Amino acid sequence: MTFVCLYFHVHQPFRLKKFSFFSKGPSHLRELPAYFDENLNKHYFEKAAKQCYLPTNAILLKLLERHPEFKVNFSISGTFLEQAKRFSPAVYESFQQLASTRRVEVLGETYYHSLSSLYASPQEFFRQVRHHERAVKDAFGLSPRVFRNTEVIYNNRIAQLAEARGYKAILTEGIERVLNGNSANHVYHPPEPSRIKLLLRNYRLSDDIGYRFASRHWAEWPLTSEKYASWLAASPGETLNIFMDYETFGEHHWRDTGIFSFLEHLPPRILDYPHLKFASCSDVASLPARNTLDIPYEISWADLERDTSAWLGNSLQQACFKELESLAPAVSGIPDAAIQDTYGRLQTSDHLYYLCTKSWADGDVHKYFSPYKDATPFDNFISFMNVLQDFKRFLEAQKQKQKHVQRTAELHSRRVKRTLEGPLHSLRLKKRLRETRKQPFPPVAINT
Amino acid sequence: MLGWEFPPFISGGLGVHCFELSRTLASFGAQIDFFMPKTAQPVSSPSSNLKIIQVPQAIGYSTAFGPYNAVSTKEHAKGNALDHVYGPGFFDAVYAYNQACFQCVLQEHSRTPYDLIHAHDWITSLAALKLKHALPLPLIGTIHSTEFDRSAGLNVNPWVSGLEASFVQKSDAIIAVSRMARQKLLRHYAAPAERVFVVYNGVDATRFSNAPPSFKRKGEKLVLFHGRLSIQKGPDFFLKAAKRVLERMPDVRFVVSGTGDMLQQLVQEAAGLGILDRVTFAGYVPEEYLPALYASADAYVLPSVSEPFGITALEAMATGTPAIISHSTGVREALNHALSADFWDADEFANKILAVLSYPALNGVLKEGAKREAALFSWKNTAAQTLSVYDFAIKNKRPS
Repeated sequence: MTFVCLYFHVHQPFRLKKFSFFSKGPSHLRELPAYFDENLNKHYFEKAAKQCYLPTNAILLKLLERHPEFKVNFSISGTFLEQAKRFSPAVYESFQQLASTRRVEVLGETYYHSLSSLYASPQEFFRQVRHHERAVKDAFGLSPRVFRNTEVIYNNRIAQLAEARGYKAILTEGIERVLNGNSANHVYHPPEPSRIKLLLRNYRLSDDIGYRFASRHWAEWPLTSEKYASWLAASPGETLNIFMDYETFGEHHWRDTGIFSFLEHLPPRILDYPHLKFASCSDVASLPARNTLDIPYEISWADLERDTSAWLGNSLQQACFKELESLAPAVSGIPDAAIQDTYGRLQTSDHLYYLCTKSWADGDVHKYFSPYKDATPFDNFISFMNVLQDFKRFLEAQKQKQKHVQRTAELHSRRVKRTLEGPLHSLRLKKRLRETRKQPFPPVAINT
Repeated sequence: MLGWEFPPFISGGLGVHCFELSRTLASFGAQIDFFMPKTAQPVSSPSSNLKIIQVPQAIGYSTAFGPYNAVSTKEHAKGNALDHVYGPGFFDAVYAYNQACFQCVLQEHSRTPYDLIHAHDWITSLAALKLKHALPLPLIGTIHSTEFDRSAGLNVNPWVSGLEASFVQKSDAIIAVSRMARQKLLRHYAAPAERVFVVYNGVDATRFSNAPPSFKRKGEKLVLFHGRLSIQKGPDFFLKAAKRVLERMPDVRFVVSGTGDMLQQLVQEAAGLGILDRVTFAGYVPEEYLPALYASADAYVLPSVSEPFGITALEAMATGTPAIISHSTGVREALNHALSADFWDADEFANKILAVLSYPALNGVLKEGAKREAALFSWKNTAAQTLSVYDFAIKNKRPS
């Protein structure tokens, strides 16, 4: 018996407006959303909804209805759910429909698709994970039990953090340099004392669909569902973890590449092999761990390096990351939802990704993902850093305001207290009563 | 090779290009006679393969009045202008120079025959076209800038643009200094596309890379403009950007280096903007101080309205100074590590200047990238590519 674990990652960031040194930042809480480019986000969301989310969800729903053995897994970022509700309720409802089949598992992650797992203090990370758990509960009535960190960034510490939140498994990349001769097609443990299970992406099988599917230079092109199913059937191990971005369907590979019909025909072809069985991530997590994998340094599924260099590879990215991390104490000091939400959205890893200056083959991919017209990584840096500086200024102003309000309230309550409890209070009261009795008419308040 | 200026008498990219190109070609073993106008002090040749012929020996004309309508050389500063020799007007001088140059080349050719003629800009094109007619030699023309660039599209001189058009159309091969410049030649002058090649200028990295920042005052940020003060280079946009920067960072110094017909207007404008105390008009800066000046700057700004290439941006980058250039600067198409903005967008220029001054991470990445990238533009490449254009012209010569 071999599990086939299909998992798709669904995410959209809140892209930023171009922000110059001369842009006017928000001066009030309700103006905070002005950092984000509503029109641009709407544009990208609607485009992706049309090209990917709606048609792919329809296919999956049909497959779930037709094949009771079919199962699929999703991670859906909080920023995606928000935008779906706002820009395309049809997308939101179609995900709800999928979840209602009970054969779709939704994974836990940071609400904002952030790199907060890499901060020195785990507080912000936990806040975002809790926030996401609530959002998944609200949207689908589900409680995630398997964790998927942003871009499957992983190290021993992140496994511990996820375990501390009660997750029983965590996803990451199955690359040779951490596998040490082990196969990605089994379940593992991080070093003691962690007991959380480790689910590893089979990057060859995943990238056959995610990257190579439409490549005419590829010897296996065109990839048919029969061929792919036969590869799965021939793969050794207990589980085949096929993880990819959901936008693979319709966005990375356009409709005319045949990606949709491939997806539609794949599950029945897989079910033709009796030893292959579709699995949720929780199903896979119930397998016994084969071995211990010690991964002290961050790995991820991005680029050829499979590390964090796509977001933290140059000094521009590192400067912004440090700036973001340094804002955490100031934000947590102000218990306001709008501020916390803005802070979260700014931490979305995409903003750092747009600053990547890697060249060569990877450079092209980044260009494709940069959503700002004609902008270079330097332009994006200037704009992003300007926003962070302005947000810092805003936080400082809020703090001052809060201090002022607190101080005023304190003074006021002290005055009231003094008046009410002071020794003179009862005397004054008696005196006033006496004076009132003396007066022929009831006292009239005269403003002097 | 027909030129107009040669170090030390230069007022722009044309002089730098002619010097570096002919010097490098000579070092490759090419025999070059470089024709140029007579100057007060004779110009010396840097190589035995390169003979400089100042025509005619008897009369001359100051190159101070370069192909650009500006007065900006040391020679002029010393009062050595020889415009009385050729008559009062600049155009008369160009005409007379070309006549003399034509005679001179014919003479030299009858003694030791040439293989080809390479002429630079419209200013030598009269002689070049006459020679093309008179001699069975291939003609190569380099267009460093067109009349449309120099005038920023306003008040285009019809005589000059007409000359440029026939120069471009009749030469056997034309060298444009960027893809952007090439497009301009195709559009404005209906140049035959198959005969127009792009060869980028170079930069002598050894001269710039280790320059000391000796003009920098401690603790003061310095932003530099260097170029002719003419409408083409957009110095007025530099001042507008300066004003915006100073609103946010009051202690930045802005240096305007170069002279030109807009100087007085610019000083008035700076005064009008109330930033005269933060702007230094350096006037003409001799070549030997240039590397240090670039190196002293925290940012180099070139808001050209229309710049076919922009050698100065490369020179600044070679010293490791981040460059912020206009979108309408040709060299931008070949650079990854320069910031750019629309020339008219003073706010965006100011935004980028402020970013370079405020964010050390950005400054660091640009500094390092600038040096690395500028080093890719060598005069050796330029000369080698020019040689292959020569090959093309020889093989595809049109009938005279």
